Amino acid sequence: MSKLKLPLFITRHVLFALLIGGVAGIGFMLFLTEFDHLTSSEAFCTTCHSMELVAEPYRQSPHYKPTSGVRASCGDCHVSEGVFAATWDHFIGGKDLFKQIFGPEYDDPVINALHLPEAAFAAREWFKKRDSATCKRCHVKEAIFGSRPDTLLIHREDAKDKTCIECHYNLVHRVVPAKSVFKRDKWNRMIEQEYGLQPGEADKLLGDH
Amino acid sequence: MGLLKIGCKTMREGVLVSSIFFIAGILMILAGTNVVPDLFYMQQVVMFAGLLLLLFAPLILIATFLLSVLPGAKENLDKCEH
Repeated sequence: MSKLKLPLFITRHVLFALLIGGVAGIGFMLFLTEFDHLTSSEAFCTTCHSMELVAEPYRQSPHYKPTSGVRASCGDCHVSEGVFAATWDHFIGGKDLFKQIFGPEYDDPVINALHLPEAAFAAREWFKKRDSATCKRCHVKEAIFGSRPDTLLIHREDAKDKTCIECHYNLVHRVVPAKSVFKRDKWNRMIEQEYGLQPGEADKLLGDH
Repeated sequence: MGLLKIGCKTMREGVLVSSIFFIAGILMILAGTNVVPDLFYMQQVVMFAGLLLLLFAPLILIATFLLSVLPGAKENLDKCEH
């Protein structure tokens, strides 16, 4: 029987390094998982007042008050699944913190509403790029039977090459038209009317910020 | 090319900086969630800085490792005291 030759590079120091590195690696992963869990919660997201404005319509939506009792929190829809993807999303999300501090006054409901369409378009694009992966955490296309007879057929045939967000948007937050039909001027007039602003003030506010 | 040269001192510095980043990152995130007051986005800023430190920790360690296995690094590192 030939003798098993052990690699010579395994020394006491290598063993120490492996042990410490292994423990630190496990700690790193556990900490990141907890961090992502914490920062994906509604409680964390709404620590910024601007997000509280976005959360208000969400709290009236079926994603917050579903008949099934399955509630989707901010992170369930807006943060990718998996610790690395979620960490990456939070890392990239740092730009929103930068904008919140140095950008327009998003805490102001008027400024917030004026900038909302761009945020909505960016969010929809984010979903589309990921093939609505976060929707599919809970929803299975093949299992959507619906109450109407054509629901099943639509999801099996018409929506075969489509992703959820292409048809299902404006479900949670304030209604924003599709980018293809969005008219900035019309939106600004609507906001002026809603908040009792002078005609043209919305354009001015948008220009200032 | 000088940056790619690694010796005993630089290897130890890499490991040490990585450990400091790792510990500081964890402490900053914990501080952001529990200690820092909710004033002018301080909590979020501290937490984000903590996340950056935490993410840089393994990157520095990996970079140090990669430098240590580059051709030519063996001669320098073999002389290191244990």
